[in-house]
Amino acid sequence: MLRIEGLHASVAASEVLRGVDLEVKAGEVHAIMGPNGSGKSTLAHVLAGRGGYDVTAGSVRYLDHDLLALAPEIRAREGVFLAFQYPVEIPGVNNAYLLKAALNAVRRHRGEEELDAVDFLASVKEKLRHLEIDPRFLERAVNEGFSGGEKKRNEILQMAILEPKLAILDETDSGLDIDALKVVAKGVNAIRDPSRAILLVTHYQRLLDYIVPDFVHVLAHGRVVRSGGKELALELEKTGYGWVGAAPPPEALV
Amino acid sequence: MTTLHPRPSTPTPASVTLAPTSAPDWLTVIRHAARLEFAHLGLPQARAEAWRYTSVQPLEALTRPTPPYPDAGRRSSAAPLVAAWASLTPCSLVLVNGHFVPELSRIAALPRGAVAGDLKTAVADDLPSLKALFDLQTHDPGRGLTALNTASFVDGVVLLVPAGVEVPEPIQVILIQVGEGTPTASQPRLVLSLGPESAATFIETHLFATTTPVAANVTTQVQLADGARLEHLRYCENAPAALHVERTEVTVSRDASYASSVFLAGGALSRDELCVALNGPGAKVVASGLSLGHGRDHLDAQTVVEHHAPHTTSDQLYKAVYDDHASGVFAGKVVVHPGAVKTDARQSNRNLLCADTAVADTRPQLEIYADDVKCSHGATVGALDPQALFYLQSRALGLDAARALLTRAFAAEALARVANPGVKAAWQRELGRRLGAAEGFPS
Repeated sequence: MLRIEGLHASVAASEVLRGVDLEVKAGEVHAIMGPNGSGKSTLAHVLAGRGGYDVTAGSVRYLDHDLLALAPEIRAREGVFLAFQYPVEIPGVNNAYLLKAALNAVRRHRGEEELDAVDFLASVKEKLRHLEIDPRFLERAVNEGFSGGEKKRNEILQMAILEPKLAILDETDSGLDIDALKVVAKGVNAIRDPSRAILLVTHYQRLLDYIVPDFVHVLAHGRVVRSGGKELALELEKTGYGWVGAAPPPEALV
Repeated sequence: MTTLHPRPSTPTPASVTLAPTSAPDWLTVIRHAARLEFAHLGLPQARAEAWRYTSVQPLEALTRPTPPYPDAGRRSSAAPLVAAWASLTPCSLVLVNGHFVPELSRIAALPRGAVAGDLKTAVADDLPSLKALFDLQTHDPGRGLTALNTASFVDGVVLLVPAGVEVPEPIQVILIQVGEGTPTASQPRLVLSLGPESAATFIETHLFATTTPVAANVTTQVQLADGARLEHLRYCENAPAALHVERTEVTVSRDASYASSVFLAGGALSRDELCVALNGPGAKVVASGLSLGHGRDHLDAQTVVEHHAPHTTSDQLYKAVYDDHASGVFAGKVVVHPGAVKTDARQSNRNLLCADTAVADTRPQLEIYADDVKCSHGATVGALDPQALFYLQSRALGLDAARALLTRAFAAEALARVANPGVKAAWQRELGRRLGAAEGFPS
């Protein structure tokens, strides 16, 4: 589903990704772990199409697409979803409106009929219940005044409604108490199926107790330095990231 | 500060229409004095502080002769605009080129003692409360234009609400400019007086049925007695060749509350000046404004709030969106006079620029001469947040739709303060139409 080859990316002339290789197949859950500054979040952002990054080398194939050539909204319509580490507050736009606009943009792209307000609400209600979210949540402005836990739950709600093919979760576990973490995990596990893939970007092993990955990769200094099964996460929990060593000297940018 | 030295170069209102023949003596005296005052003051000068960011050069047009009563053709060309807006209220008074047109107006029954009608008739009837309203002293720096209006108005609208009366339905005045063969300037006068513990909603809808240059100099006087409550809503439609200047002077007595909202939806030069004097303890003003500028529009919102009494409250939120080569101004002055302790004054001005060529000037001013007050003000000028745009794109919204959504959400905050549901809905519709925002945006 996703094949990343030799991906180099820099931000403000400083190289953050230095040759990432990764292959993710449908039905798989991959955890990307690594110390702060290793490039985990940059990788998630580059895949979702955030501006401000220069991809200097490498390629990303997603399904039949050259992913990097697509605008962010086209990636989203083709089934890529990024759950933000810091979801943005949007005063004046309520959650229900954004969810419906997003879902209908995806449906239009797929050639499906748009949902009206009644059908939309019916489809959302079930998901709200499953994620233990108060329906009044829908009437509030997107993320405005939300607690950290509410913001993350809102990301998971959006994901549940958009039903992505490739879900990328950028440190969705950071700052969550154990109850909120369980709700997030429940939401992720609910979309897990043989047709979808999930990329979990996380600093800690804790989330992986609830979302068990098929593969774990350690990213350090902009490269995948180790890959393994779920037991690698447990090993990292014991050894920490000290073993990855100091950053190599910066390579000259072409 | 405007000086009182005669300026021979200033155009005098030589062409000013004579007072209505049936005018009472007191009005003739006031108008004569105003004519002399305008001859002294003249139009605002380029160096005047209040005109720092808006060119005074087009104001020359305001001294053109007032247009004659519109003929049948002009009245009928105004009719579709009336039809589009009159449905907002059961009572709408229509002025075409500054003249009250009964056949286009619809006057609903009002509670006992309340009067809503054309100013000319009210003056002819010499309603006893009128004189006091015209005696109101206007302040600098708007005196020149107010004097011009006092000297030259042909007609207008008056709303008088006696003590204890609540007018249940809003009163709307629709002011339409229709082009004349020769350039003219209309000088509508609006006079509102609410007695103690009375309440009303007053809507002004300024529209243009012409692409030829027209000019209007509107003067509005509002007097709120103790405990009175007024919501005053002003909408000014865009017209590429229109000059629209309106000055509203409000006095608010003890425990009275004045809520003002102005929506400048475009215009070659549209300026809304609001001057509020909070004269009694507990007096309150809530003012909001939304300016939407496109093309080469220039929109200007000016406020002066004077806290003269203790325990007075003012809360202002003015927002603006400028695109293309549009420009705009917000200048808001809050003065807390000696003795106005426990004043609570808030002011916020936020401007969104959608193009590198758009310009916003913002000028908050706070003058405090009393202790124990709470005052805050803030002003911002900026573009849409790129993080918010990316967030919406990552949720499958196209870039244009994301921009429209964020812009509309930004602007809608100012309209959220409108209490009258019909007007709020109508203004939101206009906002959506102008910004091309996504369909089905919730109110």
